[in-house]
Formats: sequence, structure tokens, C-alpha cells
Amino acid sequence: MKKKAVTKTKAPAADPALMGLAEAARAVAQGKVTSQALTEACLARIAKWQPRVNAFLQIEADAALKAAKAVDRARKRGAALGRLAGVPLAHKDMFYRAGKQSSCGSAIRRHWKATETATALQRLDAEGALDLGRLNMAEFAFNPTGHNVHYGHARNPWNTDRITGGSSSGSAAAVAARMVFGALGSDTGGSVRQPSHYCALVGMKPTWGRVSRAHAMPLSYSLDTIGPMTRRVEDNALLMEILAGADPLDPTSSREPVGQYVAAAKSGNVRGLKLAVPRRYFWDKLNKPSAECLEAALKTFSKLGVKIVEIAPPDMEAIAAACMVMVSAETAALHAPWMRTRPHLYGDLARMRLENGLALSAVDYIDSQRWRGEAIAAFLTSMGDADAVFAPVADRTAPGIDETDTAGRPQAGKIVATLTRLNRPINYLGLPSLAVPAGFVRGKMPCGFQLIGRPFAEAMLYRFGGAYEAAQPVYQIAPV
Amino acid sequence: MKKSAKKANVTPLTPPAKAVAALPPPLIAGMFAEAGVLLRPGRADTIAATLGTALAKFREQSVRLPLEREPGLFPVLVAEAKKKAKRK
Repeated sequence: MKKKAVTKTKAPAADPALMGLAEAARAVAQGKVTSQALTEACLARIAKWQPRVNAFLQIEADAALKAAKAVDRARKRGAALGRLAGVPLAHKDMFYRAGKQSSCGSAIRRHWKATETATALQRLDAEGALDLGRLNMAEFAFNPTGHNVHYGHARNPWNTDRITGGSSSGSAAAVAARMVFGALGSDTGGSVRQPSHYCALVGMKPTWGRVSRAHAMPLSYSLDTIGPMTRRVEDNALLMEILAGADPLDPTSSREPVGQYVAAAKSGNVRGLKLAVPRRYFWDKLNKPSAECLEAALKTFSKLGVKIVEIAPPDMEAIAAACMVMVSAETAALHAPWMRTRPHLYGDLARMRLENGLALSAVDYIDSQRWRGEAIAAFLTSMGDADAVFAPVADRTAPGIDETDTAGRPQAGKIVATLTRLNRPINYLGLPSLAVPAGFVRGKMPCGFQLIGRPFAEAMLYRFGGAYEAAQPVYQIAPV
Repeated sequence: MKKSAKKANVTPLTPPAKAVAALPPPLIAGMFAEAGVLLRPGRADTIAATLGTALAKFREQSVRLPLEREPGLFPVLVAEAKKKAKRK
């Protein structure tokens, strides 16, 4: 693909697709904009951006417009509307919808149709959200780049020669290019946070068990989480309030009470709170421009009255290694039947990564489970009395698509292996982590940070994220 | 037999002459054969290099795991729940 010049501009307010998700929902509810107008604006953005970023696998324009008109009629009648009524979303193609295809980004499931609907989708549907279609993703959600040999690579709207990150690649491209107001992603080793960092988005990897995984494609039982990707913190908090909570269909979902995430995101007050900064491991390989961007973000927090304290985290290399053992074993167990019978249908990158787990012993896998609680306790102890941890999401901004194409360059494997080194440990620890856009590195590519919290402390992360965004409204800049 | 080993009532083991890689390629080939999955040429070496490194690092930690029940996923929450139960 020819390199296209991508510049940034302040988003003009005239295009309703450029609104935030919560803002759009309020505008529909108050009759300031129709759902039909929102949907048509999103479809216009899709017409412009889809050929450039390949975010969608399928666009359901007619069904979405029909649903939008129904919402507008309901509002005119004075019917009660849900919190997302008439707002177009779209989701990673691993959330099943009864009777519809769900390819999981694979050739193996290209024509597979689900018989059940994911609980996450049901909860969004119940609040009136529209579904504009199925989004591109890494094959079986198991690569961190967004490359997909079956459906074409997703491309970063900020520079179409760069990766979106993965595995929630289509979600990142669609939300960043303002084709939809928000999207679901899944995060087993960084698949929500890392593409959020590369595409200037807010992405929540919730506490393990916070969001039901019923009827969403499994990758790793012990590590999978589902989280929203949006442009603004309040939007993300709104989706999480709707998604979180116990589900009888998912016995691993938690009964912990759901926090007041939207209120936390809008509180704006972080004065007196404490952020912990673990320089060791997290800053070891960080490149200079990203480090400068994060230092500026820390200064912003300081100005907001947040106390910054440095901490010494436990052995994160060992935690990352334990995560690799766990994810490799669990994914291999799930895919072993297909790897025996249809190995040729896997793309090379997915197959290579899935194969690893077949070389592990049961004892190593069980030990990775046994150490988990102790590792979590060690990390939480290292936090001291801090309210959250501030850390980079990745060592650099989005690398090139060619640079990370393992089919084209043998050296690319080494780069790919390092992409999620700052995310994987947090999945092993099961802790919530919110990726927040910090700004742009040298004025070109997005750079974010992650806020890591205590178990079920998502509200605290939204409080920090919302306050930062109020001071540094990165979402006001859109790719053009 | 060494005095310390006698005291602990264990038979001392003879350590291997040289350190064994966490995942030797022949072992990987055997595991793939057992699983009935085709192993492509060169893959055993790649897996040994990538996963083997992580496994070696993890085993440094896992050998120190105590013979106790694991503390649970979120020990802090468990501790809080126990406190609450006591208060009642």
C-alpha cells in the first residue's frame, strides 16, 4: 500500500461521528441529534476509512439504519431509552451473536455461525446500542500486531504503514478513525491496552472475573478478560458500568459490587491521591521519545495534586515468564484438536504461537497456577499505600507493518515477542489496567500509559484517567 | 552420606553433570509426536529458544514454591472477607 500522509487536526464539531460516546447518547436522548444521523455519519466515516484501515470484516449498514430509525421513533413516542440508545458500536469478531458468523479472525471459523449471543453483547443490546458490524482481529486473538493473513491486516489510522497493535486490531482502527463510538476488545496479554496505546484510545483491561466471558471466544481460561475501547474516559466508564457484574452463564464472573465508574471518571479530583512508578522492568527498554512523553504525563498528574512515589516491583521477568507458560499451555489445549487435523488452515504466526504450549509439562503449567496468588500479593505489597501504579503500555509507539511481519522478515519475530512485555504480567496478576492516551510522540504517533489498580478498583483508575484527560484532552485530535 | 542429608532423612541426589536446557529440542519433538501434531523442520529449535528461555526463568521461581495450598487469586480480598466474617 502506498504511504499516505496522515496529519492531525482539531476535530470539527459539525460531524456527529466525532462526538464522544456518552455525549452522543445524551444527544440522542435529548433529541439534539437522531440516531439515524449518528449512524449515517458513522457510515460516511466507514466509506472513507475502511479502504485505508481494513477495520471491518462485515458492515451491517441496513440493519443498523433500521435499528436507528426504531430508536428515533421510540424517542418521539416518549418511550424509555437505554443508556446507549441509538449509538453505533461494533465489536471484535469473537463475540458471538446467535445466527450470525463469528470468524474469530480465522480461516477455520470463516463460515461458522454462533448459536448463542455473548453476555457482553446482550448487555449492550439491552441499553439500546446499535451494532454496525464485525471487526477485524488477529487470528484467534493470538498475535499482538494486527496482522491477519486471512482477511488482510488492520492499519493504524494515524499512519497506515504502522500496525494498530493486536489482537483487538479492528476495534482500535474503527474507534480511532471515528467509524464507531466504541468497541469491545479482549485482553489476554495486552490485546486491549496495547492497540489503545498505538491508536490514542482509552482501553480497559478489567480485573479478571469483572466482565462475563460467556459466549465470547476463549483463548486462555485463566487470563482472558473483556474490555471496552473508546476515545474518552467517560465513554469507557459508561460501557464498563453496563458490562460489569456477575453472570450465571459465566461461573468465573465475580459477585463483587460494580463501582460508580462514570461518576469516578467525571469527578476530576485526584488531589492527595498517590501514584506509584515502578521504574525497574517497566522503564528498562522504553525508548527516549516515549519516556519523555510519560515524564510529561507524570508532571501533569503532579500539577493535579497527585503524589508520585517510586516503587520497586517484584520480579516482573518471572511474572511475565509465568504468564507465558500459562497462556501457552491453555491455548494449546484449546487448539490441539484443530492443530492435529487442520494445521494448514492456521496462519503461520498463530500456528507458531499456539505450538509453544504443546512442549510444556503439566507440572510447569500447574506451577504457573500455584504461584499466581503469591505473585499478586507481592505486587500489591510493592504498591505500598499508593492508589494505583503508573506504567508505560509499550516500549515505543506503533512499529511498522512490514517491520513486524514475521512472514517477510525472520527478525520480526524478536520485535513481536517484545510488544506485550509490559502488559502480560498484569494479566497474570489479574489486576485491572486502564490504558489512557498521554499525547503524541514528537507530534506524530500516539503514546499512552497504563494505570494498574488493586483488584476490582476500576473506579479509581477511571478517576485518575478522567482527571488526566480533562487536563490533556488528547481525544480532541482526530486522524484525517 | 552427608550429615545434613541424614538429619533431613532424605537421600542426596547426584546432580546432572551439566545443566540441561529447560526444553531440549528432542523432548519437544517427543511431546509433539505424543500429541499427534506435525512438527515442522526447525520449529523444535525455535521453541526451545523462545519458550525454553521463559520456562527456565519461571522455574527459578517455581522451585521455591512451598508445599502449601495456593493463597487464591486475590489474597487481599480473601483476607478482607475473613476479617468481615470475624466481625460478624
